[in-house]
Amino acid sequence: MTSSLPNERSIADAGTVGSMAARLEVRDLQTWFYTRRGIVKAVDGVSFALEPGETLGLVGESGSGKSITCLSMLRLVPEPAGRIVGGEVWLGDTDLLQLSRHEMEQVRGRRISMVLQDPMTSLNPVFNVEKQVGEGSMYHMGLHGSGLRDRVQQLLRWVRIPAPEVRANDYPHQMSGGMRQRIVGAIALSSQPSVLIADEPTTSLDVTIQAQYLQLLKDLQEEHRFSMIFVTHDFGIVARVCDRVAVMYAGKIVEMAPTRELFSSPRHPYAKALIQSLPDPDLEVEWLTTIPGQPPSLYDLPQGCPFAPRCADAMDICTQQYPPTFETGVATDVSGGVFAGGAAGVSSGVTAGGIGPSHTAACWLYDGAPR
Amino acid sequence: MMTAVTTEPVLLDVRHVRKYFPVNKGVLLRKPVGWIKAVDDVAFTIAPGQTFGLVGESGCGKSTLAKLILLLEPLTEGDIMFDERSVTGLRGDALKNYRASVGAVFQDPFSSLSPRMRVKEIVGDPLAVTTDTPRSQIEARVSEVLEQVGLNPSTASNYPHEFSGGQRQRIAIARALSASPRLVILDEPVSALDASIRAQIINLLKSLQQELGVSYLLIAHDLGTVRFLSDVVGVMYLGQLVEKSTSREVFTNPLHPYTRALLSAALPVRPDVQREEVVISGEVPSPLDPPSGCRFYARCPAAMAICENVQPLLAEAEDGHEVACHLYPTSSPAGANATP
Ligand SMILES: Nc1ncnc2c1ncn2[C@@H]1O[C@H](COP(=O)(O)OP(=O)(O)OP(=O)(O)O)[C@@H](O)[C@H]1O
Ligand SMILES: Nc1ncnc2c1ncn2[C@@H]1O[C@H](COP(=O)(O)OP(=O)(O)OP(=O)(O)O)[C@@H](O)[C@H]1O
Ligand code: SF4
Ligand code: SF4
Ligand SMILES: [Mg+2]
Ligand SMILES: [Mg+2]
Repeated sequence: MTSSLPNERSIADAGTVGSMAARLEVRDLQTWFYTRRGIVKAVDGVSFALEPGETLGLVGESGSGKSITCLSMLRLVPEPAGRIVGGEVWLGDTDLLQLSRHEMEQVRGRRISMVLQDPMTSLNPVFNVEKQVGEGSMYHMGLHGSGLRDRVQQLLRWVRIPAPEVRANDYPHQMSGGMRQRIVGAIALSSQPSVLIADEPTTSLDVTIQAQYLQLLKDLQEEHRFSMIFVTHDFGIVARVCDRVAVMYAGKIVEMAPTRELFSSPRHPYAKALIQSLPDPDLEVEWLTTIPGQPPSLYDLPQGCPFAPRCADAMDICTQQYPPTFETGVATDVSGGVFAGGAAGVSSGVTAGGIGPSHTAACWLYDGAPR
Repeated sequence: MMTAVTTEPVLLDVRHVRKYFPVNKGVLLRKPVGWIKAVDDVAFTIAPGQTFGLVGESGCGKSTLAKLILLLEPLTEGDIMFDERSVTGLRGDALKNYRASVGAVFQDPFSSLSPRMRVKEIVGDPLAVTTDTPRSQIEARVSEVLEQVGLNPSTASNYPHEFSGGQRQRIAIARALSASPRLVILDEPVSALDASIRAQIINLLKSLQQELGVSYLLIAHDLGTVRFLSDVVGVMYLGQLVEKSTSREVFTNPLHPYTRALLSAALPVRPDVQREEVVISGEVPSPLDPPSGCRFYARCPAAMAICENVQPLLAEAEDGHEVACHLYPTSSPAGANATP
């Protein structure tokens, strides 16, 4: 894969935004929806940390709370039904959940940018592409006139929009699905954030443009050391861009591991089943493998582990009590040894002993107790 | 020139269609300065019970083609036949019948679901509008399809905004299938779904096809899905079909240089697998001013002198395998010289 970056490589050339690389840490985030039919615990106790320059993949079942987790970090949860009822979101030494609305607006789009899952909700149908892509650069970099126009075209070229000098005049409805998705990507990149959250940013891209787009993100990340959260169902993308992966099920992170680890030795029965249902394109089969049973309804989650009704390993305790997060040990840590499991309550990131990145799972199989 | 790959009966016959969009310059005057040739002479057929898979670069005209078939955009040129009748002039009951026979899942499931309708109304709507099914039966049918797509029927009274991206995509699929159509246009139907639910939907589409003989036009960037579901695959590049054959042929014996590059760029589903990639470099060309010869010329690793000025024709280069590329003598018009 060759770099798709043109000569005008650095965003900083056009004026400096100067977002500082910063650590991101989410602690015990809870976002609930209060509906006519009851409470939906869309995000229920999510914790993770992200170092500058690091990329975390967020994968998991459709409806498990990935998008709501991301929206909560930006405080964009649809109100009044949705409410962040608990937790902290630390960017550097600021808890974003404690900021005033006005202060949060300064952070949004500037220190944290997000590519929303649905491109049309972030694009305004009545403004043309040039205006929408240029807004961030005008606001954050103070660009105007021809400088602004050049900058917009640079951004459009980066995301591979053909004939950008003409297409910049188009309105969103005149663009193809994949072009809109890339426009939204260009907008998110335009203000050079410290954290980029991308919610399924390449679902409408063909594999060649996708490869170039992912490379662009990696090159920019290397240059500016922003951290990324990548929500995706595509494990090929996870393998290519993510350092670590968090797997979500029914509002919770059920497994967290370095990317290679997750693929080579998934621990949580849901994660295992998910990876097993990836089809092998070179194998001609009659039917594809699925996880038996239906996805849980968040309106009435069973007591205990929500995966229990579909889990082949379920034990008595699983239907009684939700499992804590266990350190399961890294099979291939830096020292080459095997880390013994058993320490409960580890959130994420680096193990206490500093042995290497940890591999955790919320599942009773790993409590270390004799059975 | 008829382009049927087989001699089966034909359900949908797309005949050399074109769709050009005007390009306007200036905010006030909006005077047209050119045309975006989104679809530029595309022809193919779909047999009853068959799946036609359509793949190609982002912006090459796939969704526009789908909109033409669904009569959401007027044709610039060409014709579309359904059951041997032209659909462009349909009025009244005939038009209603056509709409009832053709279901659709749009690429953007968010804006295609009406925000003020409940899920049961959205999913039951095609049945209510195009048939005389009594209400109680519609509700039962709605519950049935919701369950089939992995949604809890107890959420039928909720509104679309209360669902996640992948859940909305499944609402759109349930809607497209509820009235048991004869042809379903699926524009990126599973792009927002996790591997397990994706497999569940793909299995569902396949079993419905086996039971009811429904036909699909499947547009997807996920080559695994296309390969699994399609009988015939067409590859589009910049408004035109450049290759067409059985799914197995296209995936195991790709002839067009663009198809080869596309297949090689697919990320392996499992990360441990390494593959060799053919990188297509060069600017993505624009449908605004397509090159006069082969549209892939500027980026093609195999380009020859003839390719710059002479447009290759889509023609049968191997048994049942059509390609538009001068590497195959069948594509070069008589008299043209295809030496490097
Ligand atoms: N406004 C709302 N009211 C009630 N429930 C909601 C609302 N918005 C989201 N939810 C529920 O919250 C849960 C989490 O939604 P979220 O969009 O985060 O899922 P996701 O993991 O991003 O899924 P996908 O992969 O399908 O996009 C879903 O089950 C959804 O039904
Ligand atoms: N209403 C419109 N007005 C002007 N141009 C349009 C319009 N609709 C589509 N186009 C243009 O036509 C071309 C083909 O668009 P189309 O949506 O068919 O692409 P696509 O193959 O579906 O791409 P993707 O994979 O990104 O969805 C693009 O250049 C697009 O910008
Ligand atoms: S906690 Fe029990 S039911 Fe849940 S995934 Fe682990 S073994 Fe299965
Ligand atoms: S016709 Fe020529 S330029 Fe076009 S794909 Fe074939 S070899 Fe390449
Ligand atoms: Mg989502
Ligand atoms: Mg499209």
